[in-house]
Amino acid sequence: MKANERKPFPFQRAVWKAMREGKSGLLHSPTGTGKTLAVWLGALAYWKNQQSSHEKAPTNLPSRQRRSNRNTAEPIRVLWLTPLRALAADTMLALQEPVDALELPWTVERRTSDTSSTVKTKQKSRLPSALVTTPESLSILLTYPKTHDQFQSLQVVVLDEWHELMSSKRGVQTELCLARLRRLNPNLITWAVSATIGNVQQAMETALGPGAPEGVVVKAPSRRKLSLKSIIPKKIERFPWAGHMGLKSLPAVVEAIDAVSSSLVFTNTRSQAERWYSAILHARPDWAGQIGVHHGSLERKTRAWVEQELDAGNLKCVVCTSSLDLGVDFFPVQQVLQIGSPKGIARLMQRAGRSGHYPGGKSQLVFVPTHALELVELAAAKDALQRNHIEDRIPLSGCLDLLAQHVVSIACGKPFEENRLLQEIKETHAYRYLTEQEWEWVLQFVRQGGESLSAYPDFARLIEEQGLHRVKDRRTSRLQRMSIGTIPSDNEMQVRYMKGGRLGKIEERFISRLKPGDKFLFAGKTLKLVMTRDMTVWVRRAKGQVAALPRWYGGRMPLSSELSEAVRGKLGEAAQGIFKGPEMKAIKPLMELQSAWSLIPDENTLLIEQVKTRDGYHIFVYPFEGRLVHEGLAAVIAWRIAQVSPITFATTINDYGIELLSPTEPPLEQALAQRLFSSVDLVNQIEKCMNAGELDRRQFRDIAKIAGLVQSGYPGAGKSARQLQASSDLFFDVFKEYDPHNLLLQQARKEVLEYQLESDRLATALDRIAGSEIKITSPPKPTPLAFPILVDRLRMKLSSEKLSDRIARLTQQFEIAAGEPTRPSTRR
Amino acid sequence: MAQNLNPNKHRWPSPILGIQVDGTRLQLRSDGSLFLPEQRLLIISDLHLGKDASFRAAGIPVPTGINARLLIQISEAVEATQCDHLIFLGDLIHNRHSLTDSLMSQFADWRTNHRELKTTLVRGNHDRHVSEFPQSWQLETCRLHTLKGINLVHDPASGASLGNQFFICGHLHPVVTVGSKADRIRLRCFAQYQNHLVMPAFGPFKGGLNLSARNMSACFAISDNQIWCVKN
Repeated sequence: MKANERKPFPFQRAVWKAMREGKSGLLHSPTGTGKTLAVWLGALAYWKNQQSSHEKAPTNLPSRQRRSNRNTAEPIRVLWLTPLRALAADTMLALQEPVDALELPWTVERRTSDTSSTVKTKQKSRLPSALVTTPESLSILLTYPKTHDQFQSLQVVVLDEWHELMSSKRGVQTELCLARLRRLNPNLITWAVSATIGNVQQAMETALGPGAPEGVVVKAPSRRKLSLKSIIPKKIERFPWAGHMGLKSLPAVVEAIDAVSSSLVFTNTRSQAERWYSAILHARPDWAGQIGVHHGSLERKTRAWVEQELDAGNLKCVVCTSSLDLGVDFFPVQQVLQIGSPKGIARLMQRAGRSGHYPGGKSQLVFVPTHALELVELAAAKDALQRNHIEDRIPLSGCLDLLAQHVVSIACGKPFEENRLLQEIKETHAYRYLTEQEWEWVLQFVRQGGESLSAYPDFARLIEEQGLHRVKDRRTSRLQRMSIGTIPSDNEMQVRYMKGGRLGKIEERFISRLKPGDKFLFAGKTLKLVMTRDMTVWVRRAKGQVAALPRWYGGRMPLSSELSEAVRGKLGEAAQGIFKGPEMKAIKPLMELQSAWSLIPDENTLLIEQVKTRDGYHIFVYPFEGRLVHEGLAAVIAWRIAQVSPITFATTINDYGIELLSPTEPPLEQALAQRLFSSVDLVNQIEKCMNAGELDRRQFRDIAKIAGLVQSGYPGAGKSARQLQASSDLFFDVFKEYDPHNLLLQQARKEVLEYQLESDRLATALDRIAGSEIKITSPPKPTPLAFPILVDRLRMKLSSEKLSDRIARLTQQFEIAAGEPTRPSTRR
Repeated sequence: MAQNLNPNKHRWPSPILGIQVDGTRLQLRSDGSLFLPEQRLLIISDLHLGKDASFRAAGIPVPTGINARLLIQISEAVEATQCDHLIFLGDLIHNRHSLTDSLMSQFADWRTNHRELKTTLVRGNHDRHVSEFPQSWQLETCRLHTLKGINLVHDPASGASLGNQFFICGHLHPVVTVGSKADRIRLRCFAQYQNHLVMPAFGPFKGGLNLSARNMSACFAISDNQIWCVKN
């Protein structure tokens, strides 16, 4: 099979051979290209092979008509799953090319939420030979009775960018759909395509399912060199300038962009992207029209325009978020700038790999720190890269919310028999250990709402008839299709010009803080709010600089454990006075200040700092274990200190440490004497502090949405939909009170324990801390290490005070803060 | 003519807090109800009965038990105050799916237990779904109820047509946040503005609208069976 003139690479040959033989497997490479072609031609080869051995003349196809190309083409053979719908269009073009060159009787189409309903209807009655789609759209396809029969002819499933999917709930959704597809055709082969991660073998096993025959792992080599540089500010201030988004480096960044013809500027958040875009444009007004902004909340058309212009080489730079992490390569891009920490080694490599795709090119990454300590992260990442130490992606398991959703989806497509569906589901990695009891509960949940029938009258999504479960009515199917793919997110509102034209989406909670006439920055433009009506924000263009910056709620990337380990190593070197490399040299003055006021913790030291400020009493602890572990650790130690005497803590965390802030002096010494950092009885205590810190309540938000509790409203539903909106908070309270054994509540707890707090990693961290020496210092002011935590505004509460005592204290505080204007100031 | 409420001088939390409007005594109660001792009148706002059923009808499993709890809470308030007249200040039911058979009979039973109680509904926006309530509920309905110097309406916006007259309303489900960044709590509250008092929603499973105490003339939060004077 030869599709183009170039000679195939050895890895491509390896994939083709394995696929022709009908083997499943996984193809991974650090940055290289040619993966798509390898798997696609392999799939075609497998088809050809099957064709010649079994079906000389394909006569068994249902209702073949000669009316149009669509109906005479091959039935569905290849399903190509991609994590982002933005990738689907490009993938489709890439797949189409060999089909045209080989003149195959194939149709290649895509189906995502952007696809028009006429095309979707056509696809339902006859699927294309190769379909490019997302996990959500596949799930929706399975809710149509017509598609189940068609999928029997499917031969190959390709999971593109599998590393992105596998460690999320969407990955679990994919596994469930695959299990169904394998039922429909037991000879189906599966190929995962992934970037290099630490646990390639596990990634493959997850994709193929636990019972599958051993697959083939093929590694494609990286063909490009990687160069990593940092923009080091001329002057390192005494305090790390966190919270300022790194704009201090703007002149240097503009200079770096100017030096090459095309750059990608990666930021970690959408707000940061907006801010940087307008800052660059402000610095270089002559670049208007030559630079672009790209993130997930922008209107699809705007994004498509940016991508197209970037590909054509017309753009000097594009400021983007992870929205451009994946996908086809833009050949003109010469360098990548990373604003702020990439938080992981794999991510750093992947982003760097977005540049230098021209012949003889080199991947160039320029790192722009947003606070001085991030320079340590880059230095550490460089070390880890050299040692080839890359993160794992851990697949999820046992999400009952998704299972409930899937069971209804399947029932919409085809009535099912209880035991057979259970068997099918147990063939996935995620549910291989599903217990009878959990399964029973999920069935009850979709049949009658919960365990006790009396608690949920008039409710049913499924009904049972002669051993078969089917959906109650067509309305249930319709609601189901609308609820699939509700990725947990806040209520989003359309942003539109008064004159017409959509700009994108923005969160309701941000808009609710603005008044008509207020200006804000969105889609790289200064806009004036005119009014909000029916979930739409109406705006006009505005002039001027004063503008609010929209915020999007969303988890922040935690520092990976591999990178945090490397950071601890770097600090250990600094503690001994060793400063290697430009990054470490640059932060030497800062480290010296840290050491003068407090000390630099090395690998064997746990540093605790106690500081009193106007805000109250701060305790800073620096385990350097990453955000997730810190969240759990903060909850546990706050809870343990609070057991000594009644106290209220506000805890803040970042990737380096924890801050516990209390209005009264905390009994730290006594708590330390009572083994504050012991890993004994950990899980039990986490459960207790989950109640106190309401962690499970937050996790429940996402679960409630997936399980179909929270409706996000649907287009055109208007006001009456609002009467059905209740926050997950309210559901949480209602379940707790009236159905405390609800397994969704239990799942929230389990997810907090396993994924959010990573209780295993937490225990490991505590064991490590137990082996290290605890040093307490009382610096005069927050130290350089403390400063970034102090300005971080994400806070969580934990209290062991009586509620009434707390309110009494708070209402009193309110009076003081509100103050009567006539009262003389008593503040010192 | 803005009117001031003259509070009794206790600053510490109590289950009941008394204030005065133009010589009429009002008791703010920690369950979120309002009692006028001279008129022996109890006011309850935004009950949203049958909210659970409207969710179930849309395929969202919300457990039962909320309505029964609400009715018990009302009974308790009626017992405690020994009132003669009960006014629902709008949004008695949630939507058109709310009037299930079980709720109809539940409420009718409750009514039988409080046969002597005069009950009035000041209609709210959610009550538009029901043109006529069941006979067995024995409800008088109106859009505006006027007492001596005090008007009762559901929506504060419709109170605006009353000029400077004092009115009591609901609709907003007001919630106030006390505390600052480090430590704060969201509490249901009675919010008083120049010439009107907004009552909190009664009972569980209701959302709330965050209001700033700075814009209020007075604010009384409820929690933990106590009334807290946040601002006065």
